[in-house]
Amino acid sequence: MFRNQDGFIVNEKGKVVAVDGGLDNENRNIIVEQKNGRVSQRW
Amino acid sequence: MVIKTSNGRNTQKWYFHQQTLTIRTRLNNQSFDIKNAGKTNDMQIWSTNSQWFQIFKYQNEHFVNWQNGKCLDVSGGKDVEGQAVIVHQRHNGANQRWKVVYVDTVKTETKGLNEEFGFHINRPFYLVSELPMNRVAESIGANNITLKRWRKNVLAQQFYFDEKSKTIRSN
Repeated sequence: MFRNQDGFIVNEKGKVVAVDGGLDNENRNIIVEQKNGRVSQRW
Repeated sequence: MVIKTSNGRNTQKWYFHQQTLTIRTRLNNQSFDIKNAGKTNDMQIWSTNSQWFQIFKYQNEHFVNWQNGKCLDVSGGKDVEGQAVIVHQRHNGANQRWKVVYVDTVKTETKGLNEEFGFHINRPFYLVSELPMNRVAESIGANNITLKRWRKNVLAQQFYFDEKSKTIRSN
């Protein structure tokens, strides 16, 4: 379960949906990771 | 475990416990359990341990043990007060059929904003990254999601919030 909170997609454990490695490339994996507030975690 | 006329007490109320995958009683939160670690056919309520003899799935009105395939069964098919409930090989008799009747009624909304989760119900959306190219999340196969350039009307790039499961689903 994920929540949409202030531009972050957050799961019950507080991890957020992010672009792996923060690289803005085609085919980058979407992962969940600890929240760090970077733009790669913002949607 | 026995059958009794419905009386509304917690001894007759059960719930599925997601974390342990067991069926628990409202009475003391212990779980369905086949006695003697599954070596018998007798049922009891026991401290939760999530061993195979506590794991049942509900399938076509049968409660089927996950490992040995035996079903919850009113012993001897006798519809009398206090008759034991056991597990038995499946034979599709009425004494193995159970209807789940929910205690409460949950109204599932079909549209509007779910304020707790921050999503509109059943309303397709794109997950647009705020990285400079504003690419979107796209479902790849059954299990993966990757970053892709937005393309018009590509269903794999559309997701929606399902109110019943409270999950985000691929379109």
